[in-house]
Amino acid sequence: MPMFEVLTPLSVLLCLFGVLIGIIMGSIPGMTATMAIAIFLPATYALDMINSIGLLIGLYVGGISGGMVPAVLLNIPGTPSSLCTTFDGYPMTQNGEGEKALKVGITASIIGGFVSLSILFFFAPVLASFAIDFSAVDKFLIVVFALTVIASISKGSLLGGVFSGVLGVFISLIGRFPDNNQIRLVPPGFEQELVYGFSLLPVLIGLFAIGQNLQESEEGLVAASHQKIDLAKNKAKQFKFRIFKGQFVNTVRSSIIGTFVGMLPGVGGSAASITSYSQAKNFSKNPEKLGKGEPEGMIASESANNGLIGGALVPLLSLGIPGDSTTAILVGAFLLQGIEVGPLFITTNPDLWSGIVFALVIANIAMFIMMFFSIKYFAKIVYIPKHIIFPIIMLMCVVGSYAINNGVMFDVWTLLLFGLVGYIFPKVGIQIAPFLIGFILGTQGEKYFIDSLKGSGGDLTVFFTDGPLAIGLWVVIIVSVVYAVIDNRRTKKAESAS
Amino acid sequence: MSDFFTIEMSYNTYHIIFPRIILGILIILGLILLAANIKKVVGKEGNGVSFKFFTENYDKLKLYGTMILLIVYALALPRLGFLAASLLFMFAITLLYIGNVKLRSIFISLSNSLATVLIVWYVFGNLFSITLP
Amino acid sequence: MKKTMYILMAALLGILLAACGESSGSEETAGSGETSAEKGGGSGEAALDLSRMRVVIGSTSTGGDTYQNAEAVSRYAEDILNTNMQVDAVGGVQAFDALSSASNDGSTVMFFHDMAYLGVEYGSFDQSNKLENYTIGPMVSTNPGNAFLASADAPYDSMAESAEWLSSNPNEEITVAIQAGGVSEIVFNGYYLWVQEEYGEEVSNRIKAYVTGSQQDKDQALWDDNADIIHGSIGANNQYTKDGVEDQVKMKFLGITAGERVEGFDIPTLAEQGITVGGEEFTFDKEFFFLLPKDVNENVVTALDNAVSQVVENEDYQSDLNNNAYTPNYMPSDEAEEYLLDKRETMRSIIERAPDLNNIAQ
Repeated sequence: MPMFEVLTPLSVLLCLFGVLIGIIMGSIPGMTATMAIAIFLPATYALDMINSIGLLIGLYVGGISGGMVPAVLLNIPGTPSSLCTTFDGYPMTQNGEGEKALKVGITASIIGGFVSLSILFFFAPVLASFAIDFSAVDKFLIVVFALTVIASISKGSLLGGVFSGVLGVFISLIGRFPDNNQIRLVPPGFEQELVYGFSLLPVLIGLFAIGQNLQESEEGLVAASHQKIDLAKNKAKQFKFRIFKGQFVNTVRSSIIGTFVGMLPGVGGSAASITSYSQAKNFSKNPEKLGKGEPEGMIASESANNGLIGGALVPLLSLGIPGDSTTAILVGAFLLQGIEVGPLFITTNPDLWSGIVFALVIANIAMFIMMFFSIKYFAKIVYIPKHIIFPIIMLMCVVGSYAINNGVMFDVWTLLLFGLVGYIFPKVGIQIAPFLIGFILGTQGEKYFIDSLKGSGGDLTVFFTDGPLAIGLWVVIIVSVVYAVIDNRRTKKAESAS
Repeated sequence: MSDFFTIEMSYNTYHIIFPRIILGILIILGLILLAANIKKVVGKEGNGVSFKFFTENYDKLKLYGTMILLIVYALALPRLGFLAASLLFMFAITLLYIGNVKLRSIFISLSNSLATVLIVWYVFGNLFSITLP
Repeated sequence: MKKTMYILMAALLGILLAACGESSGSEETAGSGETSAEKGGGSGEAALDLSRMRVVIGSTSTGGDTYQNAEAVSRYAEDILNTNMQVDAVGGVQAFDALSSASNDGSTVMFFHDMAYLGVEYGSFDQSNKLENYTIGPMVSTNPGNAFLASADAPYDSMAESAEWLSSNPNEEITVAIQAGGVSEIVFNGYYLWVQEEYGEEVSNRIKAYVTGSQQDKDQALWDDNADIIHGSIGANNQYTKDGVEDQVKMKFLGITAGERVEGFDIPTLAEQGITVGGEEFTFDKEFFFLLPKDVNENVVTALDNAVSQVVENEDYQSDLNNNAYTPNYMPSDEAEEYLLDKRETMRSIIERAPDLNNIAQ
């Protein structure tokens, strides 16, 4: 078999090791796939390229997949890309379906992984031009499109949700605009600390983990009802592959959206699962159920964020452009070995190329096996008494925040500040998820907005005249918004009727 | 008419164009929301709203305790170092969450604190060379 | 502690192996554990009494040249210093911040390149971060590949020809993609001033700047036709200039800014092309050096000087640098200080005459 001519036994083992560590790191709130890879980057120096690839790919796949565990069980997205996993995953846990949700997620992940892998394998060279053909205008519109999910996930007040999202965008703009190094929106006295704005990870886990923690403290930390449910007895709450029957289109569509959005350098990483979730909701037969614990939503989010892996590797391996922050670190690993990743990478390094593909195959299978059969133990996390687990989560959040930018104390303060924000916001009617999505996409939106205008000399009509791609994107944006408004009205009517 | 659709692009002001637009949208949305809420309140003849920030009989000790402990912890980190600060924090917060000072609770807190902090310190700080506070 | 990690990895792999019932690879893994443990012995010469040394760098990227140069020198120097060196990519402002509050025992040092003082001159770093407020450590290496590129089908093959072309096509403009406040702005300024001196303002007024961020953004600007010439480097852009690259993304080098040609590359220097500023050849070498806290102990400086001087002699280190077309360039701290202050003076004179980006940016 050619597979084992390329991969050494050591590289296979390192890949398995990487998946294991990745899953563990991804499962810890505050630790991310990116961090897992960054930690092991110096270690790869002692290894051959093919062995490092095994290890890094393992970490990447494991880390992204592990992120679903805290998202589902604790309502804390382990990585930014598992944000949408919380929308349906956590409600399922509250219904006592935590294990089922995780198994749905794992299955969706491996499907997403393989769909994107096949796209990568068969079309990477062809798709190279796809990645750079997207102009700044198109990228801006993709961001706008991803933002439209805010409208469809707003609970209750649509206007309130949109307001929360725009507020998130606004907060993300704090700091320095990279093009002209000018600082804006920074309160006096914080010019040093806020020069790069608030970091995403502390904001994310602050809003979710610390905010929730404060909320629970206020309520006196009583055991939640789902902590008492006995899983084994209830047949309906168990996982069966039959769940995927009727979800075929959703799974494949989400995997493909994840892959293609993941291909776009700059916007890919964060927008992939968000866009796919909003599409799942638009196409769903019963959209009102999404967000209340439907496997359908789990599938959309998880197949997309594993699809993202193959997607992000397309521009990396066919052009040398990293698709997201994690692949940017992979470039570092290649360069440490003196290997140029560029347009000729695949033709000049056929062994490494097939090594990457095989490592992805192994990592996906290993991820599936390791997670699927260990998940019932993972799922027991919800039974750990809150007075034990909450302090641990808080400690990990502090450590993770400090470490995300390699040791910046201000990130710990960011974590605490947004913890307080995450506690106060829901009480005053500002919705956390839309706020966060705005925050994640805000800086990218600005970058491509300004880049578009730089190209057109300030002419705003460029957003409509840039080409057929832009027009197409406008159509999807409008459909998505109209759909969300109708859906919101219908849900409201249904609620007031009952 | 075409002037209306043109934004003056100047290098020195790149950084304020987008924030201004967003702030504008934010203010408009805020005003609409405000108007909608006032309408609701007036419609209900005033006494319909009894906005409560805290849930009833909220646990003051645990809520404020958590906030204070977190802030003290963050302040202590650069001064006491990671190990000492984290051990104290973990012990205190676990004890706070258990809610009493029985021997058993102290034992639980102590073991939770020691186990977690030492594992984190060893695995992340030493094996993985993450820069700890 | 990286060694401990290798051993742990080897151990875990061993367990995995045993679980798989496969014994063929286990010798290999055990071997890797041993060799790394051996390396841990290290020489105690010039050792610092530190269990760990944090090297903050002025870039947030772990794929850029700053990280690569910092990582390489740290990897070899840590054995000589008998400590663990941890490279943290925190970014310019944060790195200066960490350095200014660091203790004087050398537990936190900074590694960066010319941007450290250029950023202050251009105003992207605060005045309080000027070189005088820190102790300049040893110079370590150079990235001589600092270059300009254009699309492969551009009507000129060098920077000198581009000016010639601009002068003979009075209706054309040339837009150069750069990043503000650092190395790419200074070399752009050099080019701009030369055109101004040589061809007059009529021509230089038709040079525009497209100010953007990372290398990737500059490449994309070229592909989007938003820029005609971009600033780049051999390390990052050579891959796009090779035969077999599709026309759509193909680039060509128009010249490098270093004083001498880079071995193995047929790219003329700007000086060779006759580009001068104020009558002097315009060259710019991007050099990497350590910065230490102002009040750092003298023995830290000596130890670091000594360590770097040994590292640059190491052939493994040299070949690691050569992999990415970097060259060792050791200079002890006192020499480096004098040299950098001089270099800053020269650059200052260029910056003073340089065009305001506000007038030439799109």
